[in-house]
Amino acid sequence: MELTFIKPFMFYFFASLTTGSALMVVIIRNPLYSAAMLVLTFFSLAGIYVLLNSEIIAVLQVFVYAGAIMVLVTFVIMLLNLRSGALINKPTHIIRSVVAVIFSFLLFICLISIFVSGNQVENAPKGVITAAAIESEGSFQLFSRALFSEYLLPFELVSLLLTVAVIGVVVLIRGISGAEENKQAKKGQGR
Amino acid sequence: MFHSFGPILMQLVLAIGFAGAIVALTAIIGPKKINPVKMDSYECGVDPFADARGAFHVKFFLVAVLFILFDVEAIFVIPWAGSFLAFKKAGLGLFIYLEMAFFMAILLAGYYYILKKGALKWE
Amino acid sequence: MTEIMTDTISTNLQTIISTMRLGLLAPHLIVSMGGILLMLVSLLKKAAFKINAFLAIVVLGIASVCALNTGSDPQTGFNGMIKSDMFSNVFIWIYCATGIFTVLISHKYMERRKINVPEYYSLLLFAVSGLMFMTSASDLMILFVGLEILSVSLFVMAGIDIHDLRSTEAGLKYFLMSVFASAFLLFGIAFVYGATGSTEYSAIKDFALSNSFGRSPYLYAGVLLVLGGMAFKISAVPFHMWTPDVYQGAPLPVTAFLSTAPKIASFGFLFKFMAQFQNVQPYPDLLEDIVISLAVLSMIVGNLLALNQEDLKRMLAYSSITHMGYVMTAFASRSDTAISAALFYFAAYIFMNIGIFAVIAVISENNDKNLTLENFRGMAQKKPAMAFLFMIFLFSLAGIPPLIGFAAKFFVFSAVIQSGLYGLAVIGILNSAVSAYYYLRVVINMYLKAPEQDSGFDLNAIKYGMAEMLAITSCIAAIIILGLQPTSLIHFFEKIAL
Repeated sequence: MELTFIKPFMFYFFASLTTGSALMVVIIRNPLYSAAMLVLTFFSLAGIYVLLNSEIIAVLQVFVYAGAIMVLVTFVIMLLNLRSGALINKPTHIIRSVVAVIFSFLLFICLISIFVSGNQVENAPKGVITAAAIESEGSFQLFSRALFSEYLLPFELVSLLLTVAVIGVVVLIRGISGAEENKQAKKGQGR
Repeated sequence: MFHSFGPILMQLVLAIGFAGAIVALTAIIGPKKINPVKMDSYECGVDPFADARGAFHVKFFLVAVLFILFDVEAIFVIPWAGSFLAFKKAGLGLFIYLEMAFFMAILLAGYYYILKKGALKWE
Repeated sequence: MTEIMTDTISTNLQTIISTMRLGLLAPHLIVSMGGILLMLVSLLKKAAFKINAFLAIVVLGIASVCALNTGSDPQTGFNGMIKSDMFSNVFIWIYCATGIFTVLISHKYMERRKINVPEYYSLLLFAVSGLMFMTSASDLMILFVGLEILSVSLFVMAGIDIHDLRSTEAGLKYFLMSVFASAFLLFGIAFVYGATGSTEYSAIKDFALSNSFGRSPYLYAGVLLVLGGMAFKISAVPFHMWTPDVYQGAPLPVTAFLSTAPKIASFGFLFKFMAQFQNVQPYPDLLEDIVISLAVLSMIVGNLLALNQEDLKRMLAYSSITHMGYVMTAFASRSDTAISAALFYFAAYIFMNIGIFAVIAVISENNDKNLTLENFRGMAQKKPAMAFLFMIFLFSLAGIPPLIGFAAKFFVFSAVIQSGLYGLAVIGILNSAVSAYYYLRVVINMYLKAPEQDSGFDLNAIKYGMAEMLAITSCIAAIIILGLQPTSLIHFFEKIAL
């Protein structure tokens, strides 16, 4: 059963869902609702990945972002103990926002001018991972093979990155957890 | 490839539809007679006395971050497990085994470190 | 189907294994394994901080010796992901030197402030390994992971003084800005991959040469975004906002490291990456204009903001923006002489910046957070030796001959003139003249003004530590010797081709 004809519709559905929910993340004032909207953004992104024939990325997206990262985001919101609207009422610097708007606009102009100007070369997908390859071997196998053969070194480096992050977390929370370290903190205040 | 997602889509539509329908139906056909006694806590319940949004201890955060880090690590194991046989058939079983062993060794060093530091101890 | 696949895996991996050449990564692996070792050593109850300081110096020393071994002719490893040549070796030496200097000036400072967390040195080693991967990379994936290893270590190092709000603020600010920059960079890498189908520099080069850069909007946009992401790390104007706060808040030795090595690594990557598009005809105008305007803005805005800064660390932060603007002019001129001039500038910048921060670390016994220019009044009377050393560093930063700062600026601007960018060179020279004002202001305060009473800042309390003095004297020696005899070093750099 070929359902390719609904693919464009699916794409527009997921794309508008992603953009809309991402917009809501910014607009909604209650941080917890924003977080919930972020989950929706991640899910609809996963939908787009599926449409692009890369199921493995979609699964990882749901696992890591919609699952783990969102737990962290919620924890941070809880940690900060924000009453609703606590952050919103702070006055924003007008000059800063003007500068920010100007530079974002410049960046936008730059990117747009690049895409508009010049006769474009053919923008067909390039590289080894083509639609045909995915069709014959499956995106999961292609992904794993690339990860463990060509991209072996970055893969191993990721373990270093994670270890650095582990050390970092323990170092930054050192004074707040653990009784022995608490004493040191008190000494530090007494000096 | 695409058609194999039919069941998942179906499931998704059914789940959202069912949940949405139930919520909508209760709102529409459920009786709405509100009185003070009804809205009160149950007999043996405790009256709410504070905002549910209290500050959490930072330890929760520590655990959450460590969870994410090891979750990301686990993500790398899934494709490894999935492609192990293919590599083995190509006569490179030892190679891919060592790859993951090296990856794990570094992370286990980190794990040993947090255990010894007592980051997971709950006082 | 599976048959085909196992065949391709087999052939793929055979070539990858045969081209792995782990030897090329010897310095990187030594430093990163050293980081793990130090992490485990820091579990010791006693003296871990001292042991780690010693081990860190040993590890960095061994790594820099190992870089000698890899040889000077370019070699690629890991299926073209790593390219080791004289260029990357020079950077490895620069990072190792910076790391060793940082350890030397850290030890007493951190103990005094009771932030003697032994993991600090472990993080420093990880940061150095990230730097090494950044400049040895010839694939954008390695670059990105290296950059992240570096950044994560730096957030923690900047915020390591958890009982000081400023330090925490510095850590958080650096984190947010870095993440933002990484997002830019990753967006750019995705565009580049989409356009060329590869993240490898040589494949990107082939694509750019065969398709003419400007005609592929995705590649163009990708390169632009990569440039923007790196401009954050370099803190080029208009991506400089985080610099003063982070410099001011982070512990001094961390500031010394932060203001040198990561910026140099970012430039190292940019030189290596943009060299791929050297022969593209016609060279995209917009890209050239953007690099030139980054250079001009960094020089002018950095200087203007530094002019009426009262806080010493903030002034140095703005002046570092200006210095990176000078290097950006060399980057804009896209010639081999400019690359060797930039390498010379990096070497000079390391000695000047680490040296000046070492002096400040010694001077600021207890209150480095609010070290204003007024605090230096009459320092020459109270501590003549220290004031003299401080003056040499300031003169060198201002570019006064015969110190190394002058030679570095001379090489950079002559390279800029050689490639025909006269306007840029004039702006650079004018700015360098203007910058002398705020450096000399400190010198005037030290030598010509009477000491201030009850400034809350006791210059007599300065104590000299052995390690700090070693760092300061070797920086001074390098500044004077290389300032008088720059030719041998620049000749060495001139032989390096990309």
